[in-house]
Amino acid sequence: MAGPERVFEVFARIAPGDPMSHIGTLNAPGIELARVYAWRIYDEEDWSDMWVAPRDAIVSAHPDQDGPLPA
Amino acid sequence: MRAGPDIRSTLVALSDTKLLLGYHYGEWTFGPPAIEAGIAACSMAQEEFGHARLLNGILKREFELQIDPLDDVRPPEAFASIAFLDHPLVSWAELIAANAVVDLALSLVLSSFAEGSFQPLARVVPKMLLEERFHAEHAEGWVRLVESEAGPARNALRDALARAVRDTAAFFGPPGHDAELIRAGVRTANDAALRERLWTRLASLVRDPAAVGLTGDGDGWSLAVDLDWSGWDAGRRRLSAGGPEQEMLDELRGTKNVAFKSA
Repeated sequence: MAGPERVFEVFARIAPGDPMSHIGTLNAPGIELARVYAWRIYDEEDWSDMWVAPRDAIVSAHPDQDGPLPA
Repeated sequence: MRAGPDIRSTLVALSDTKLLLGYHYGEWTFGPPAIEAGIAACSMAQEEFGHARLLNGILKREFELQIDPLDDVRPPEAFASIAFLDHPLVSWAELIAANAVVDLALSLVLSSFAEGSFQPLARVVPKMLLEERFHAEHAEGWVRLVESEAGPARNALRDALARAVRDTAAFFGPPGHDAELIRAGVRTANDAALRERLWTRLASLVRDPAAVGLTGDGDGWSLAVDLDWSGWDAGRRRLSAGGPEQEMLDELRGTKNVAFKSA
């Protein structure tokens, strides 16, 4: 029905200007539900910002690394 | 205020429906298609229970009407809730239909009080609608996802949506039933207009609005079948008799654990 679930990485910060922190991962069938799930699952802080990104969209910048983000 | 009884009955209907919606969301903490979906359902349950409690507080303060879900002794046929929630939602399709149609209907009715003159409710509606935004996004995400591919899941969702649409149409009542609340400035949109907004929103999510019981009506959408309003119960905002299953009410009230209530 929905195809395979994708892994999303979740990033957030408590105050504007703080460094963005990786706070966890989640599974979702698409970005729309990933947004919803992230905000609900990682609600332990009063975040000022939160982003989600599909893991397979994140690429390494290290010159000796290639391929997708490892789990 | 002449509009008082109408405000009171609307608040009761919102509270009763939110209580049952919370029950169904809570039931789906376990068993959804993914752990993340269960967390979302649990979260929505908490918010619906919170909203029902808030509305009950207004009923107590403004109308001296005490509704405590744990001490409630009303029989099922006294509940003013949307009929789609009368029975356990046995499939994820039904849960999504409740989320996409019933939940949004309640939010639309609440939104019509936000700019109105009944301050006890107008004051709290913005916070409730902020929380409800997530419920709507959850529903839209799931409906779009399931609608994207033909198959048994889409068929099940369309069947559930069609039943939710029919039952929720009754909740909005016959045209003009809320004229007094509009005239008094308590609400800024009437139920007929809100119902059309709900259908328009739903029609934008599904690929075949006819499959969920909607038909094109000028620039908007309407129910494909005409409802006979002669049997409409204004107090319960329903066309159908009956009410929530007693077993569900017993669970909500903690009937089996009454011995611990005073502990």
